[in-house]
Amino acid sequence: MSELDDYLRQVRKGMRFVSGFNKTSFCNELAVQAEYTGVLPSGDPRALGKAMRQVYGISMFIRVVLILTAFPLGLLSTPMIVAWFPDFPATLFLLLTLLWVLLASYYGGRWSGLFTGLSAAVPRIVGLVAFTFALDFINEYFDSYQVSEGVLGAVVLTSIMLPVIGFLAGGRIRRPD
Amino acid sequence: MRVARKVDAVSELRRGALELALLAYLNKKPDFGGAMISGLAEATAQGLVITEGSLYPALGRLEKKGLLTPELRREVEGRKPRKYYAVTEQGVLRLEELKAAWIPLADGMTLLFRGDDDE
Repeated sequence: MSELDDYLRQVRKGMRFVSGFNKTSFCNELAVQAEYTGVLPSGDPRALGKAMRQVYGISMFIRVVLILTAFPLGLLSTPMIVAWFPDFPATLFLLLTLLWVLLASYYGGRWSGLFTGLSAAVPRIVGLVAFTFALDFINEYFDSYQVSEGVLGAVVLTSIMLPVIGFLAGGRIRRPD
Repeated sequence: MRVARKVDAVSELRRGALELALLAYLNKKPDFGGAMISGLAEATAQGLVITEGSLYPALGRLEKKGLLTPELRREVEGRKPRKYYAVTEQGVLRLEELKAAWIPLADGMTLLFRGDDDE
């Protein structure tokens, strides 16, 4: 592998999650440049790749994957799930969901953060509403599962906070230049 | 820690100036990445020495804002075409706007710093 190939490989690594088209287009520009001048660009190639990721943003495919994956994570973070599975670690899933939303904000910016947060919040709210209507049914089969107003409030609040945190974090997190 | 902060402040200052410098430089003639590095350093009497790490992200940002437009030109037969950047109409307007703000600011700062080295 030539020095240029190795340099471009590092740039591509820095541009992780950027669309293939933008990665190829930018690496071609660098390759042609190096071909004409006969010297490699100076500086850290991975840092250059990361800076270009800032410019291009992550690909639509990755954004959609982040949004879609947030939905089951949000569902599993609904505390009412313990009515069926008493030992289920819903709080752990809530933390995972929050990390997922922050990841989307970090790589995709505020809109990715917002939509990933919304995707996680929807099943939580739907779960809450469904649970409210199904409480009598649940209590027929399980030992009087009770949810305090505090827990209900916490579910609503954390659900609302997920897209809000995603949106705000997307604008606040300082990514590498 | 202190050094890191200083470097950040200088980077921020350069970053703001770089986009204006690129618009001004490319408004004179379209150019390609590698030539811009040496061209800018020469045009600014080594006042603005940059690397690919700051040049390409700045070009990308300006292109994304519609202030620059890329064009592929094949200069040597048998070689791949090179990407040239030119200032768009919108870029010219932005350049005029930024220049009008920059000149009095730079003059004022020079005046402010005058005599600092003697103290």
